[in-house]
Amino acid sequence: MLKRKSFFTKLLAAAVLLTGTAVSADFSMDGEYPWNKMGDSVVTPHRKFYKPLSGKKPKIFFIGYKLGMREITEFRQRFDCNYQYWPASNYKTFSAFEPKPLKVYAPTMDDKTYAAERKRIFADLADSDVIMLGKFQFADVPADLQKRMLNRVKAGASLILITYNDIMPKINGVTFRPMPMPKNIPAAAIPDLKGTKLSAASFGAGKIVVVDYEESKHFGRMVENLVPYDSCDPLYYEYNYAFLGALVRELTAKDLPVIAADKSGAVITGKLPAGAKIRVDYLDRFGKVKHSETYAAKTGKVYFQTPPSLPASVKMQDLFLLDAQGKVLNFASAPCTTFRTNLISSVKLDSDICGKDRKFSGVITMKGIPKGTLKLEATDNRGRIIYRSSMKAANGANKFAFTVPPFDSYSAKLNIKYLENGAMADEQETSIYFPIDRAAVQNDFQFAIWANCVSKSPVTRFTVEQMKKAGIDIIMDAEVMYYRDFSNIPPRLFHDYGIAYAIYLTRLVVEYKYQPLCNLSLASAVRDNKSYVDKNGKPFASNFNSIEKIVQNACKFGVAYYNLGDENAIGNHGLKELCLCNECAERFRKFLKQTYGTIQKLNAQYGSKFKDFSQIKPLPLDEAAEKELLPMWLDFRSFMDYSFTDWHKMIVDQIRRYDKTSAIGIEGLVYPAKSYSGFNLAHMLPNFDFCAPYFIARDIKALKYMKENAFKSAWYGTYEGEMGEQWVRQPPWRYLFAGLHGAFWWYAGYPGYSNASIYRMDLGYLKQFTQSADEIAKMKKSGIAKLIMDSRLRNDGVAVHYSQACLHAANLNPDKTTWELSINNIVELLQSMGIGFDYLTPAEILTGKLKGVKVLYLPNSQALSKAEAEVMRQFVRNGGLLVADYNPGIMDEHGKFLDESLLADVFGPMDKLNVKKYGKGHAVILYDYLDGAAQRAQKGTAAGIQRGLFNMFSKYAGVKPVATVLDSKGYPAEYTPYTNGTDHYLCFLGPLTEAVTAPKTTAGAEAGATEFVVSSGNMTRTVILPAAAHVYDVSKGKYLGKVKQFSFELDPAVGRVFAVTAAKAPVPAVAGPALLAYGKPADFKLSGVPNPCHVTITAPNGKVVLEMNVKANGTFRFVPSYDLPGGNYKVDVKNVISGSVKTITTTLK
Amino acid sequence: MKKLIFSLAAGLVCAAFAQENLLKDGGFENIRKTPKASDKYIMSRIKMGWDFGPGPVAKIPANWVPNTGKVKFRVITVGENGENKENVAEGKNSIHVSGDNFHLYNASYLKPGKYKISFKYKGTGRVTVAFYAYGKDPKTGRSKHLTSRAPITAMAKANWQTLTREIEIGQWVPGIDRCTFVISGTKMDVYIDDIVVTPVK
Repeated sequence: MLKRKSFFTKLLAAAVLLTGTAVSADFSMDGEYPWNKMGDSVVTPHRKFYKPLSGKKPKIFFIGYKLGMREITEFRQRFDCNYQYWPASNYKTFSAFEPKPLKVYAPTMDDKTYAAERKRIFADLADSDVIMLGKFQFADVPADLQKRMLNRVKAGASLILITYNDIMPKINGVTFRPMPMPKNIPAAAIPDLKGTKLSAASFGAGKIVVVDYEESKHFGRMVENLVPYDSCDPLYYEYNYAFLGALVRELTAKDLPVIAADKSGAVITGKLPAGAKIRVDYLDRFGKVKHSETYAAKTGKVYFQTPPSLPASVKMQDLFLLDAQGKVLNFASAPCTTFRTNLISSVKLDSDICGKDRKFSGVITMKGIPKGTLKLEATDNRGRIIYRSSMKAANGANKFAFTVPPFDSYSAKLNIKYLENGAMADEQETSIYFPIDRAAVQNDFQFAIWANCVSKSPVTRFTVEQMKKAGIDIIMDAEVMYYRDFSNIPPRLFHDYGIAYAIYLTRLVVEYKYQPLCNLSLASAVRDNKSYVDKNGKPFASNFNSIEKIVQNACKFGVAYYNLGDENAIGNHGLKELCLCNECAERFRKFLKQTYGTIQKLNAQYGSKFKDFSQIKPLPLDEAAEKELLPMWLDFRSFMDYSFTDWHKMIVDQIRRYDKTSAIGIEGLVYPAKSYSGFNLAHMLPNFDFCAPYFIARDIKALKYMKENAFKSAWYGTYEGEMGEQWVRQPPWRYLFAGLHGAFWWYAGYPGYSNASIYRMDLGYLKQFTQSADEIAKMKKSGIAKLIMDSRLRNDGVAVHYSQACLHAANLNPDKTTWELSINNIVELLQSMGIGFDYLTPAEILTGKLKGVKVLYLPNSQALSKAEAEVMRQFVRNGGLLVADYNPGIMDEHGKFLDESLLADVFGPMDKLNVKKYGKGHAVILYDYLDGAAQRAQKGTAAGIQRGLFNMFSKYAGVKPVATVLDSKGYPAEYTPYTNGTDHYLCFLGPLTEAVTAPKTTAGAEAGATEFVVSSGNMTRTVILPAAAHVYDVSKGKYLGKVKQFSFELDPAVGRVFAVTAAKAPVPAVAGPALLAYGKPADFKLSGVPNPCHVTITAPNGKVVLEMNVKANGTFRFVPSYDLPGGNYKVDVKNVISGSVKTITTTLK
Repeated sequence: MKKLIFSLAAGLVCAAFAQENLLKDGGFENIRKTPKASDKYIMSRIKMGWDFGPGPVAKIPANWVPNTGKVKFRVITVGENGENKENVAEGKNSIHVSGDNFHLYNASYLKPGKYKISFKYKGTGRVTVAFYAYGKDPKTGRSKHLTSRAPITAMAKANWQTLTREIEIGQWVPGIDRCTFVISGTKMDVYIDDIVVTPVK
């Protein structure tokens, strides 16, 4: 009995160990969390209206949500108060935990913590003077908290409910009556406040006030919490806060002196403290104070006049009633009319975006009898003056046209001043935009982010500004596809800050269908009709119109990339047997007819007895197995893969009708190694020039099938779960070393209940994001990113068979492995050994690409054509090494089982580690020798297999890696070899030594996208070269001499690069003009160095005015902007490898 | 018409007295067919020693999860592969498991408490009912496996047997808040069907 119990216990323990991973789904507790992080450190430009405040500061309890939480900070910047706040989940959900729990990605707390936080935060209601709900309906507050809020109001507090479009709150027993607007704010003269209504109801000793903003044309994003939607005027936006401040002041401070503007000064009522003053600010249309005066204050009338010298651009007058200490007693504002009669009535551009000719034209319309001069000046997104001119002003229309020199600007503010007698009489400003050059965007490693930015809100604008400061190069807006009518917003917003625009344009998943036609049949419909619309002018798919409109708007700006979808798949997440609809069946029959020609040939292949093609119907796998039609199933899956590619290609073609150059592709590939996803990467990727898959080595390797100069990257960030410092610093290096051109962060998110965000509550950054941004900045500044991007991954003469037929065939014969497991094993293993390799498809093999290959590896390559097998046979006969794990060539390329393997003669008995000499070469069956190798390689426990494979490759194929790298235990250690001519770059990725705080399992498609093992700290590496060579520690900027062997210590989680060169790295040479002229492009040419150089140009005042990495022997351009000082400019060109610098001087006159 | 009304009334009375089975699909009536090579989990079971039958598709009870084991596992369906009612106790399906050992757990959770458990089985070898018990980790607040117990075990016989027991679960260690029902066995060749778990009040 005891013995049996013990057995059960063991069995149960083992069972539960396995079950455990299936039931838990958590994220690490690492990194900084946004919850409770609202400080004062992140300051935006603002005007203080009630700050510092004279007298007692009120305490305000705010409720807001998402990015709009920033408006609480914005309000506090302008109004002096104590505060507490509660972040709702969104505009109608009180929290992620109630009224019903929401599914939250990377949650910031558990329910116990939530309960404690709710209790702690709402305890602050007890001494709050004002409770302000920012467009969050009172009815959506939980009943217990509603009760507490109302009790607080009964005791004397005020409840301000901000709403819009006449959505009035309903509170039992409360009837709202109209309430006058604060007299000190001229709401009728402020466009965004015009039409705002106030209603109020007394409630016990307190008051409930409803702020109802006028109906707006907002379009659903609803970023704004406290202010009206779409309010973004640089002058009037401020008054939204002044208005709320005035309201709070009116509700909380009794017996205040009141100030009001009138025609000849101001009128003060109420009792004033001794030493009170009035400060009058005059503000122009840009919100800038153009003039300020101070007067002694007294009750009654205070006389003063608008100064006659003020320009016509002054639009408002702010009056601050201050106490003796300069603190604000009260505030008032009024529209201001100047004495100017000659002014600019409008500026109209023919187009705000120029073409490649960089030409702009438009009309400045003058009013009055202008006798002065119009001065035009454009200041670009980097603060450089890139255009200057002046013209005599005339009454009425003043046409202008100009060409901007070729600065690398994204946008500029075109400022137009009207000058009379040397003084500025009026000023207007408008934005102009420049298309970006795709080659320039892809010149260096790119830091991109996924964000939602279809909004005019200054808060959204601020997030973009913040992203630029963090070093973001590209924002992929993921929202515009839902708001095509507002697709003009994001490109302008991003270009304002020098950020390239990428578009999440559509999503192609068969299961989501919004039109009668099957999605997979759309390409045929478009092809047959030679049009994207049917005979009635109706688009074949509902998203065609959106795509067209968005692309037409965006293409003028140049797009970093169009993304045709995240996690596209035939079935959602690629695990469903699709598509078996009638349309697809009909298309499949046509496909079979094209493939086989006659039904007899098809029957011969399938072993079937179909009388004609019309009898054929695609079958799911189980039915195909039952009916012994497995080859037909394989053909059907291949057909579905082609259809899936066709669908994408159709959208590519649609975009190309308007945009001939921008990159187009997809990202977030889900399960491309499984049969049902629809991905045939070797077939699909040649259509794309952009791709950002999940970082799975197997799929990254397939990016070789993309177009030349394609933009390749991968996502990281919150989706991976771990937010510890090392976990966010390492991915960009990992991506660079894998041959990618950027690191894309998922995603900007929102502050609140999820750690899938880059923001704190005040929209400052969470530290994990800045840590990662900092690492990418280092990679770029050092020139290492450019060095690796401009090199190519070394190939040691090893090829891996990459066959879609074999991928599908794995389903027909699931034996000891799958295609996915097999290819993962060999890819991970070869990478861990530093052996450079490439994939070869059956088509490549048949077209002679085996030439020069020493080893061909067959991962679960069960389905081969006779021709393919014959080329492989010849390959071995001629001296090649052919290695297979399981069942090579036991089926034909359609999945028909053969009596004998097509390669039986080459391999001989299919026994484990059987080596057979065949012709001049060898063939080896590994069987289960590599089982689990992928995981073991990642854990660093694959030394035996690595040595075995090294020996096999070396002995039978003469494969010699560029270096032997060992760790401190003498085991093979991973590195990535790159080559550039005769130079080699050895790239080492510092392991992660920081464990995550708690285990995590990402759910869904991302699971398994990253499988990393925390190292126990084996950081020493010894590199043994075949012969002595010059070695440079590029990362540390050291020359190690001409050596055959060297050792070093890796730093955790970051990259380290060594250059191994036959000759010493040369000092660069640079040629360029001796004289520079303002606005004139100066071209410089590098020479003498076979690798990229880091270039800086420094102005006489010490300011760096150009900094970039330039390709080997490339050119770079410097256009002196009109704001630069004259004098000598230092041009430094640094060899990225050696650090040697060549300096020349050129003079700007 | 009267007959119909009587039938409806009788049905309502029965429904009122019948206790709902707390297990999802204790009779293995809902089946999922999964391509073996495309299902990472099923492939890992196959590599572990589960044999789901020849061909590319595994036939598995939809609400049950194969866990540890080294067995030949088949869903028996009346009318398929020459099967008649002989190897199925109730409904259309049963399971047939033969080999060294196995754990098959149900997708539903049971709260600690008293339950009446019954199931039908026949064949040879030992059949066991076990539970995986979970509770919250006080440090992280997350769910954690606390213990496992196998409180019911029986030897199978050639003819269908019905085992019925009342047991209390979840009292084994402090902090258990939910349990998973597991049917398992050792050195067996058994048919199992109609597993019912109902609360004892």
